[in-house]
Amino acid sequence: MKKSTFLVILLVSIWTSAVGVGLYSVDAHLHYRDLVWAIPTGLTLLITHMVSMTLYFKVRGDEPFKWHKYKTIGEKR
Amino acid sequence: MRTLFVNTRYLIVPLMSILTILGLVTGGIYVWAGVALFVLSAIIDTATKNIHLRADFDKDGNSYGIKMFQYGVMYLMLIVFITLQIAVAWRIYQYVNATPSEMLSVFGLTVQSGITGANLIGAIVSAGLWAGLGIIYGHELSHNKKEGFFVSRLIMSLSGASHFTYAHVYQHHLHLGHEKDPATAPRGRNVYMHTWLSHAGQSKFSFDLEKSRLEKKGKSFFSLDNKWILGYLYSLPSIVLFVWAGGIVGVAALLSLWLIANFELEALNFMGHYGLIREDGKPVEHRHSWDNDSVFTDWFFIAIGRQADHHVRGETYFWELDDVKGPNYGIGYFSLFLITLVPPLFKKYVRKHLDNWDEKYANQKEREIASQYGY
Repeated sequence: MKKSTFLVILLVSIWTSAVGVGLYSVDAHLHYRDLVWAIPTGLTLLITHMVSMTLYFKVRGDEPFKWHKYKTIGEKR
Repeated sequence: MRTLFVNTRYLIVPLMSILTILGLVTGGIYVWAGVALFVLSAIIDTATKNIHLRADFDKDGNSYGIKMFQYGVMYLMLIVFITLQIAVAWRIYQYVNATPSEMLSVFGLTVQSGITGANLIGAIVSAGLWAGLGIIYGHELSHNKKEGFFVSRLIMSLSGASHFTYAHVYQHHLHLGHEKDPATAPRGRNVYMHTWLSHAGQSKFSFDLEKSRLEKKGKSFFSLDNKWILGYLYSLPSIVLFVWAGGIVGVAALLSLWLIANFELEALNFMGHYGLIREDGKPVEHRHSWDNDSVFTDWFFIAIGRQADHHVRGETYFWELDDVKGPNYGIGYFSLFLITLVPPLFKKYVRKHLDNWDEKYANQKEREIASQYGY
């Protein structure tokens, strides 16, 4: 696994876990039926996803989308 | 009569989506209706894979398609897909509340309240499979320059993929067959890896596009004028609905639903362009897309399989797209989809088609590039 792949998995895991722990510590999992809780909880989850995507873009750049890694040497398989 | 036939034959997905919703509402074993209808569709598609029809025009060359009717259906599908999410969220609500199982009569329909864990899985998979088919309407409407584009964004946002609308038109259509287009799968990539890379690549395109656009305007990236941010915000009502309906269970259900829906979306991209190559900067031609136009695929997927014609005439309505003798797998999307699910099988299957493309369709430069890759 490439260093940058490992790094982004680590960063996204830490970030998502931190948000999860944060939501748990304020008892969001107990109050979700109250819209006053459900809306900010939903927004927090959405922002978590957007930040994770941004981390992926920043750490990995354009590399994951390049085709050179699919090139074969010698006979086509 | 011909007009009626041409316009109603594209109603398979709307009718089956409504039946899926009815299954979710009815409850019990019927929550699996969406899965059953998907399997039934795969069987019909496979059985009719050798039937290929042309687009229908009258003797004066005018299409039988009625734009107002087809657009009306596509706009109504937004309501249908929202209803689908509400129906599955209602079932999650009942599961989390441990609602007792009893038969109720609602508007003359016998409904079973409460749901078991196994049937909840069926409800989520059913909803995911049919929510994923929103792509066919999201795709068609993305090419509309008026309100249709916005409806496309909303339909795609129900699957957390609102970025698709911009990326499809301003990235995929301009760069297909090249690594600049993440929706084109190079030879050697499997459908699972492609799902992530295509999804992330299209989102990144929208992210970069907005960053550069807002910089030029001297505006902050963190603005409601940012269409990448706005696209994700369109998904907020779905997230709040599922959080409210089931808390952690609701979030897990929504993630599953989005995963299934996005897998379908990217599988369509995968099947439409796998392994085809275009020299950077050269025009997009019929040979740069795979056609899948067996009769059931054509009607079910509102002619999205007529990729070769679509990519050359992007503004053309789906009911006017025709067979232009582009490269063709010769089988429908359902059959091909099942093959792509098993990468070694797909690799074996696609070999003869890629060899045929290299020999009969590719130009010299494309052939040279193709020789650097496997299958």
